[in-house]
Amino acid sequence: MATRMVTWAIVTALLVAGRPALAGPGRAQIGLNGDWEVAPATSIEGPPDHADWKPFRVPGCVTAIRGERSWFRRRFVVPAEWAGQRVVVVYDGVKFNSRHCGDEAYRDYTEYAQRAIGRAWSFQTRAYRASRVSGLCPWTCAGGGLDPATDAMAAAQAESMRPLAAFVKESSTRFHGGRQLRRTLQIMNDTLHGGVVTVHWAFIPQGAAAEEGTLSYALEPAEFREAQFEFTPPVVERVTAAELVVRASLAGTPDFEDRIPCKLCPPPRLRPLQSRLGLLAKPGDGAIFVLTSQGLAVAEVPALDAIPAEIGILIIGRDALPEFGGGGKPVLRVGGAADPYHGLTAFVRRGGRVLLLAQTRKHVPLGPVRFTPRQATITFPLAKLHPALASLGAEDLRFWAPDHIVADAQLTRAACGLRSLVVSGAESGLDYTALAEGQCGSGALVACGLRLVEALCSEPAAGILLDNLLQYLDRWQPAAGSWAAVMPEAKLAGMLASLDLDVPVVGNLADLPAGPRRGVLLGADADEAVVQRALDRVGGGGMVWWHRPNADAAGRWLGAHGLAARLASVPGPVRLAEGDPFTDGLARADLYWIQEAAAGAHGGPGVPSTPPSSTMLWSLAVRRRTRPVRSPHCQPRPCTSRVRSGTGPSTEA
Amino acid sequence: MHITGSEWNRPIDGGMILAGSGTLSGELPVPAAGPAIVGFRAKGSSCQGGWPQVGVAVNGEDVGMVTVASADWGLYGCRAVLPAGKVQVTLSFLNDAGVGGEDRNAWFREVMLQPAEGLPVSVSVHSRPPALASVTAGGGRLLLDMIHWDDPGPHAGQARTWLTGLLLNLGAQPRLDGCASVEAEELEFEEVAHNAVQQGVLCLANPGSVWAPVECAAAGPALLRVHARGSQARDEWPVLVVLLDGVEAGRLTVDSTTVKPCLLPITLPAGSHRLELRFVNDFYDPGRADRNVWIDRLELRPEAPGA
Repeated sequence: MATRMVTWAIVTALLVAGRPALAGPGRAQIGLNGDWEVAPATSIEGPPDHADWKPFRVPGCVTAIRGERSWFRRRFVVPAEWAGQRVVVVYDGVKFNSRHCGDEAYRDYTEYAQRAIGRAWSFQTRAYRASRVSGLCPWTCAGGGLDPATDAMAAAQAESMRPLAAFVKESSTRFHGGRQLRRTLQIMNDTLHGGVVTVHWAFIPQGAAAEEGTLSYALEPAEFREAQFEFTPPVVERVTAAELVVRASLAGTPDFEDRIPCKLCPPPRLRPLQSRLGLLAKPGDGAIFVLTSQGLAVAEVPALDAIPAEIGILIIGRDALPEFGGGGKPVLRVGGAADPYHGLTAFVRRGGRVLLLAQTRKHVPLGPVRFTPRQATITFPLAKLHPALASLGAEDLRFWAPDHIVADAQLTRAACGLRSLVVSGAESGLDYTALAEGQCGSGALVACGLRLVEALCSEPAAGILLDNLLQYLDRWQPAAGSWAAVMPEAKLAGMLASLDLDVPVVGNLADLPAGPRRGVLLGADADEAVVQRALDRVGGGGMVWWHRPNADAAGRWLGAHGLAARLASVPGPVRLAEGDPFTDGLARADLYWIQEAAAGAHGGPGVPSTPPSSTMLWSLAVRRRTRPVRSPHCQPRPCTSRVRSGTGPSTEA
Repeated sequence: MHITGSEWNRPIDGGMILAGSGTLSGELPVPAAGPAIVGFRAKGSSCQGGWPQVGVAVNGEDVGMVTVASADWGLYGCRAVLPAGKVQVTLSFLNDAGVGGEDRNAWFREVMLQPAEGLPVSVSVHSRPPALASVTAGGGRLLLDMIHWDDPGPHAGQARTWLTGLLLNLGAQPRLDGCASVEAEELEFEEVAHNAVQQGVLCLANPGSVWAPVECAAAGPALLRVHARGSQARDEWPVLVVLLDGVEAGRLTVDSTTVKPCLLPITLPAGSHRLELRFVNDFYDPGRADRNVWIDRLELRPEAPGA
């Protein structure tokens, strides 16, 4: 007698395949690809009773926007001989609608939309599988295609959905030599074959003997097991490349292999400092022990208004700053009470350098410098050329041992008033930074939510970064001068006023405050004469920033400086040039303005269609007398080569 | 030419139409290595006000992106430094869209290369295309900035972050002065359906008020900064009416999809007050439009030092 059954599932996008099968050797299978039905999910508690079910082909794609979910159903016949036996249902692939991405992902739209999401899916798929969501395997979806060779999301799915798997649970990949390590294996037999799964692991440092071992477990289909292994990597004197290799095999199924690049590092070492080091810390803060155990002489600073004159670098420990207004019920207090941070700002302005660690209490607004208690397991280098990030790569800012947490608190980039050295992703983009700096007066402030002190002994990257930062602050030299804006138009003036920056706005150059100028920002109304006077005012080493210059005025200035060039109208989006030191520390993401597609559009989740520029220095490409350029596009002069579309691969000179 | 993509055709009047995202590529000979303009003749159709964007790559390396912002044939192009010999030029239609009877497509007719002189050594290009470039002049430097970050539409938060980042990169200094603030999760607010604090941000999905107590030591001008973002509906952004002790002190339009500070100068009498923000123009058309506002925090600082 045949039994009818219905499978239900809730997914967000693409259903790739499903097949029920009897568990055990030589088992029968039923393919579930083909005709399904789909309906919008109003609840995840169960499928709707009277929903508008529509036909749906599997494999296939469903586009879901902003948390829309769907129920899928299919009826199929279960053979009578399966009665009373264990039946497993196998689904391929996973997608979940979140992404983590660094600024690299904003190089182009495809990379933004696919590669970053793919990486996130890979993590989420593994997490689902490890938590045994939906029985044998998690549900799935994809956005870009089904071919791992051409689609980053499909590739991530294929990698994370290997039926026989022995994933290493810990994602940290940097280890101190000489310290015992424990790794956890998540062994998954999501095949239709039971048997003995043999897992061989090996830790192979470059130029040193490998540590290795073998584990074996009998696993039924759909069975999952966690196992651990330990080893002690050799002591090294410098950072050494290594590889952790894990292979798993089960008779009748393809082998599994992961090769995880690792770094083997010497013990943490903080180099001596020329400056006197002070520490303001909460009672019981272990930072003092961490720093002194590294051989640094540290003076304990009791309060912000009692910073000894000899202190050059002040470390402010976690949550050591007092709350503005003394804590208690939140009140917007204006005037009346002394600024509790006056001692700190005075210290910085006279040349002191401050390393401000995470402040997670609510009312600690040091101007715009305000931490939010937002943890991060991944952050991304932005100012890659900054000395603080020397010898650290993107991989070093992820998954810090022992618990993967890299930062305990972060600053909001849009409103922190500091230059972001690293960035972290959020739903709406790269909104946060866990490491930022600014020059204030003659001193410097570095705000850091990274676990530099807490992870010093467990995470090699933390030690390198802390050492880099202290050396940077030790050698730090202030730049002379500051910025001001002259003649900005109303919109520009409004934006400048909303910034948390000390950029005074004046009506003309003569009104600039006395003293050296590092730069002057000019609005569109400035002409070439004003520009030249501004350049004279800032002097050697200074900069004049001419925003949206008038094309004719810019052409005259360029011509007067021997540059036969002019501005031309070529509307379109703008991206930062690659490998340009000038833009180091600027985020591509900030110029990547996404327009959400309207419901029903077939343009995908969003298109980068907002034009941040309508004019560019196009004609710098040519000399005016010999290569006339006709605005708005390239000129129709004889071409060296051309190929006509629709006529095949012919070319003509 | 080699074509990828699921929707393309060769119109009777010549050329090629890409009606879906796809690429067009072919080989071109380059007699001598050096800087050149990679040009193409194209036209487009718009959808929701957006025109086709065409990525240009040479030998697989991205050299720029161009918006084909016209329904008439025109010439477009990007600068590139080319090697001698045959090069593979690829044009990618990046932003296919179709909605409400509009269909964004791109037509191409020819692709061409043209030699160009290199940039003078005194010029550095910081963006592609060169909308941000700097020129060395005497001992100083002139930064030519044609980017519309001061006209960002709904992207005010990003534009502000860009401006802040560039100014800081160039040596501007932050303002470090303590000020009073109240975070979203500490604000009191009317209990209205769907108005709630989520992940440290107060979402007002329905009309309602939020408020915080104010203590002012001495009367004087102050600047209210409301860090918030909004969603636009029917071309209108959320509006917050600011009330001081029940009297309207001004209005804030939250015109950004990312958090930005909305500023309102107010005059504070000495003493205790109640500062209230009232969301007054909620709009909801299920499945079509939803005007909401999200408040991250309030700040109040005296306008003049010592005030």
